[in-house]
Amino acid sequence: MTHALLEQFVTEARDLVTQSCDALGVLESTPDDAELVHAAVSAVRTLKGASKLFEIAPLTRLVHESEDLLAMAHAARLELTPDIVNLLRASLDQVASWLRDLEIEGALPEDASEKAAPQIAALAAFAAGAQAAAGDGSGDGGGDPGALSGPGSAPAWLDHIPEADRLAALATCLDTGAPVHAIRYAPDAQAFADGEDPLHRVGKVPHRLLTRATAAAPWPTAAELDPFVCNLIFEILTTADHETLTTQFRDVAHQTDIVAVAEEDWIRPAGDLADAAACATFAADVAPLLAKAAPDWDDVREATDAFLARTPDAAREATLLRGLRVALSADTVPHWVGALVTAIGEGCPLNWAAPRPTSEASAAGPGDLLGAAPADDGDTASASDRGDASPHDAQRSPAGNPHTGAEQDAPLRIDEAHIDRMTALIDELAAAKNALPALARRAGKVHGWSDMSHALKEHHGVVDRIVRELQEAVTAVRMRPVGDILRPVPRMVRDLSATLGKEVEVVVSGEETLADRTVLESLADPILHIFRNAVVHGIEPVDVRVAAGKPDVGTIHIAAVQDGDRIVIEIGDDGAGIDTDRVRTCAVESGLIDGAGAADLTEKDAAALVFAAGVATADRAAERAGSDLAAVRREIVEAGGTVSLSSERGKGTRIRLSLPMTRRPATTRVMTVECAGNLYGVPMDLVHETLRIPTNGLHKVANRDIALWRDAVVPIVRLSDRMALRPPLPAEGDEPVMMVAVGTERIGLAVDAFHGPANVVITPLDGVLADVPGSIGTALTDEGRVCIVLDVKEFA
Amino acid sequence: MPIGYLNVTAVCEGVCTVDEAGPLLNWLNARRVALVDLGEAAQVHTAIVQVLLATNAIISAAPRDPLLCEVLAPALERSKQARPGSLSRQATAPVREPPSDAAADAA
Repeated sequence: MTHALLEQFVTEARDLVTQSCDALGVLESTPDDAELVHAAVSAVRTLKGASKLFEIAPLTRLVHESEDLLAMAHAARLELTPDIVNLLRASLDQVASWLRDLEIEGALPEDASEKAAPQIAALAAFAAGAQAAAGDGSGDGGGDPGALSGPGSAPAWLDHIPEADRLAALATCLDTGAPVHAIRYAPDAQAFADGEDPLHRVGKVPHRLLTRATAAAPWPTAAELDPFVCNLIFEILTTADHETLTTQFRDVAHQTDIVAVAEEDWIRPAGDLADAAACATFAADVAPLLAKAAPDWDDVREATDAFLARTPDAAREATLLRGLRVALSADTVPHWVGALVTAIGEGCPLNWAAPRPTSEASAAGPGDLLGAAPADDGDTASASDRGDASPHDAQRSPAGNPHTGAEQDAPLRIDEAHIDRMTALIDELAAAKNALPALARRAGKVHGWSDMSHALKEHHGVVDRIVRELQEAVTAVRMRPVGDILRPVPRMVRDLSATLGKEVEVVVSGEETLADRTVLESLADPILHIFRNAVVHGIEPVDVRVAAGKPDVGTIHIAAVQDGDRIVIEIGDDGAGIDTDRVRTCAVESGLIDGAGAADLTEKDAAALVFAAGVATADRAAERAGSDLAAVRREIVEAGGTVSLSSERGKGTRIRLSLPMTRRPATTRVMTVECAGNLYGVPMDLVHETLRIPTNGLHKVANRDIALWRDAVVPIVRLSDRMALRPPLPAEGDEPVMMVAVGTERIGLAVDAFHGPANVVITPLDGVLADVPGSIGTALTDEGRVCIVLDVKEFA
Repeated sequence: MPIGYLNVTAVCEGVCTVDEAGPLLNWLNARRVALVDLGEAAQVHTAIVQVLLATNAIISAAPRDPLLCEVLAPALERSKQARPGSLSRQATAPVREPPSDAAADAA
């Protein structure tokens, strides 16, 4: 579940990064466009809010600092110089790269905080500079993870917590200087049915000061109690930081209220006022003591104790006095003591802690910062701070979003996991419908119902068509235009060429060509590598180009086209081409081929050697490029694609990538065999032949059975041995053996019987079975039998 | 068996899961006097905690887990007050179950 949430976050965050990058791109030329700044700041702010749901502090911090800068620009307190825009873009690039890590690894790289530190510092430096320039000490960004809620804004449920516990929390706050968080966790009534153990979750909250469980609704009589409906509310006070807590409760964010309680809010007036006049006298007496430059706190304490002794315990003023007593006992008496005394004098208003312009003025100090909670940030930040906004909501609720009207038209966002599940189900359906022809045959042959057989076959045709259409429809949902992954290219090329002193233009065509999202993702990195390679090694410096009679500006073109069920991407440059002589020399030096082999290579083959790992071309710097290209080929091949390259000296290099447009179909053709009563499958593309070997055709060499097959010696592996099923049957007569490929070798897999080919959907094993060697997964055959698909590699 | 049922005492041991909340509640409901021993309970599911809070079950031995003690505070408090002579006092409480039940227990 967490995983799905994270995936959703990554998807949305990527959009948000793109939005802000786009806005920044235009801002570079028109830095004064307030609309664009607004667009950028709201995207970044939404991103920040959503990121807090996860344990990705460096990302959150980086985004937070970026947001601060943008917010300042938005408030016209900062001029967006090209330096700042570049820095912001670099930060967003970093965020984008982390999003990829998050998607793949599920976590940020370990060096994330170190990596982010310089950027964060640079962003903060700009922000501080701007603030100093504006002579304005009050921050605008606000919304720190764990920012205090302003005094007076604490939720009403704090009243339920016993006063003694509240005051203990206050004392802790004052001692440590860190806020105490109050959590109210009201698990869903169905929580138990959903497999949740709320108490267990609560138990994981670190540094708990208090944990209470109360009934959400009054308890029914014991006879009427439904033990499986959760009727508990947990209230927790803890000194753990906000980030930890949001992480802890992110799965149940909508059932949880996490509040960093301001110190003042721990003191909550309750009961009736006993003696208003005495209160006013007390306040009048104490105020002069507080007004001194260095108040004598002992005097104040004395006065408080004396008044408290005269006041009934249940009186409202007593609640405030007890709070005052705790505040006065702290090593550093908090600044709001003055406000508290004033409140007592004024008859202990319930919302005494809420900022009041007049009384706050007298208690000036660090409290100003708390009191002046940034209204600008309030909507998004507090919503997500309280944990009641999913990234989805956060996406839709930025205050003052100028596009509110268009929300109805916003595309429906679907969690990719749902699509994956749909695809998987459709694949299952496709496999399940294959049982129909078998049934039809049986109806005709075994039962003699030819009518029924006919009807079944016809019906199979209908189902078949619908399933195919379904498959097409769900495939179409997963398609994205190639342009999505080409977005970062022009900028990368511009930045890189600028540092190298080259001039390069990128020409893109066919960016609207569609391909499956996962295919595109596997293309994104290779394409960037190829471009980097083309800029670094392909395009020559301007003077060389001019000397060669080429235009100053080098061109790299990228074209995407659909070719049947494949997507073909061609990237070509008009640079120097590959120095095949160098490649030959390097290949020989690195021991890849020998000198004679190198001389025999055609130009084309020599050029293709750049894909071989370890072949360095132009110079030392190129070693990286060499390994890049090797990685490119590996990645593309892994995705089921091919790479080809052509190069002409002095004219340029073209690299052609060809990949299947959609994911590999999930059904696999397997050969099914039986062994000891169980059904096994072997992927069909590994099966060379099935044959029966007479017992006398088997020979024993070094205690292993071998057979001669097509003039080669093939080891025989008994499946029953390998699966530890039972002692092998004494071989009688012919033994069914399946010749399978294991890498470049062959082995003969001896089984009990062959069952013929089947199209199946392989489900990987999980749980305790995940580590069972020798199997890739299980599958259901048309007849509804479970078949274990073997990983024959393990049998060699 | 994480919850063992004696005549008048349910003994929770080890990890008590959500599945045991139902049987425990039924057991408690079938008794006028019911003690629950949590002394050996390592982990108790929220559903069981809820049953203990919502019923008049007397906790005869408090759990060792401080969190569990904190959460069960009202029930523990009630148990403390009920324990001295609780058996006789509870026994004279309004009878909700047919008397045959006690006999069934003994058997």
